[in-house]
Amino acid sequence: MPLQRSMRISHEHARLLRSMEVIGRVSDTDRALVTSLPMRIRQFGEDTDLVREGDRPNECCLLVDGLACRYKLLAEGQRQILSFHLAGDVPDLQSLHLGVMDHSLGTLTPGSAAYIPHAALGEVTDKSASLTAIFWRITLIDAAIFREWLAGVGRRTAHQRVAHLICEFFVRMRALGLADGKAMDLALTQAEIADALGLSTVHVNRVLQDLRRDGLIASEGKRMLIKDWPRLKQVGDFDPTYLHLLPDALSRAD
Amino acid sequence: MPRFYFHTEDGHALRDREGVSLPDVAAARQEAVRALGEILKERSEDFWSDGLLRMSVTDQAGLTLFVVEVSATDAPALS
Repeated sequence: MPLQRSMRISHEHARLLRSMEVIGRVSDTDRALVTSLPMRIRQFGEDTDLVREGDRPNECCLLVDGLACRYKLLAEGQRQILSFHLAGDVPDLQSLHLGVMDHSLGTLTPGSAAYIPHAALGEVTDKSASLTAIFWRITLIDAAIFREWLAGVGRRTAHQRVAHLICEFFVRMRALGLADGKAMDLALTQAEIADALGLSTVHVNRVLQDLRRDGLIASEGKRMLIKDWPRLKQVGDFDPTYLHLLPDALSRAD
Repeated sequence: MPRFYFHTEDGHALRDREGVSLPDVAAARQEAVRALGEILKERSEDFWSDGLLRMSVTDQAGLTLFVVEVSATDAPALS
C-alpha cells in the first residue's frame, strides 16, 4: 500500500515536496505527512489577488502552476513588488503564525493554487519536529531573499539589479526543474520588473536592451535564453548563497 | 495605449527600438524624467566627461514629441 500511495502523489503535493527537497532533507515520514495534507485547488487568471492585505486567512496558498508576487500598494497608488513566486512556493506560509496579512499576494500569469487549511498544517507540524524545521527554513530563506533584494534596491545599479533578478529566477527555476537547459519561461512585463526593482519602466527597457546587445540574454516571445551565464552573474553581482539550496540542487542549478 | 520610444544620448546614442506603452504624453513626460534621473544617478562620474545627458521621446511614427536635457558647465574659476 505505501508504494501504491507514493506512486499516486498528486501534482500539487509533488510541487510542494519538490520545493521542500531543494532546501532540506525530507524523511519518508515527513513525506507521508505532506502527502496527507488536504488541498483545495483553484484555477486563476493573470493579475488576480489570491490573498489581500488585511485578510485573516485560515489557510495557506501553495502556488501549483504559474507565477505570483507579493506586493504592497502605496498611498500614491504605486505598486512595490516585494517578491516573485514560482510553482511549489507557499508565499503566505507566514499566515500560519501571523494572523493578519501585511501585504497582498497576486498572480502574474494564469495558473492554479492549492489552499491548505491552517488546521491541517498545524496538525502535521505538531507531529513532526523535522517537518516544522523545514517550514521554518523556508521562512528563513524567504527573509534571506528579502535581505538580498534590500541590498539591491538600496545600492545596486539598474544593470546589476536586472541581471541579478534574472540570475535569481534562473537558479530557482533550474533547482525546481522548471527551466530546461538555458531557457526559462519568464512571462514578466517590463513594468513588473520595474515595480520589483524600484526603477522606471523606461530604464528597465534600456537595461534589457543593453543585456541583449552585449550577448548575455536573448528573448523568444515569453521565453528568455541565458546566452552567457558567467558574465550575467558577474554583471548582476550574483552569488546564489542566499538561496540556501542543498548542494545537489545548487550544482544542478548554477 | 500608445507606444513611446525613449532615445538617450550620453557620449554615445542609444536608440530605443522597443518602446514602452503608456496612457498619454503626460505619462511619457513623467516617465522620461524618472528614467533620466535614474540614469543620471548612475553616471555621477562618467557624466562629467560628456557634460550632457539627453533624452528624446518619439511616437510610433518616429515624430519627436519632446526632449529632456541635463547639462553641466564648468565656470571659469575651474579652467
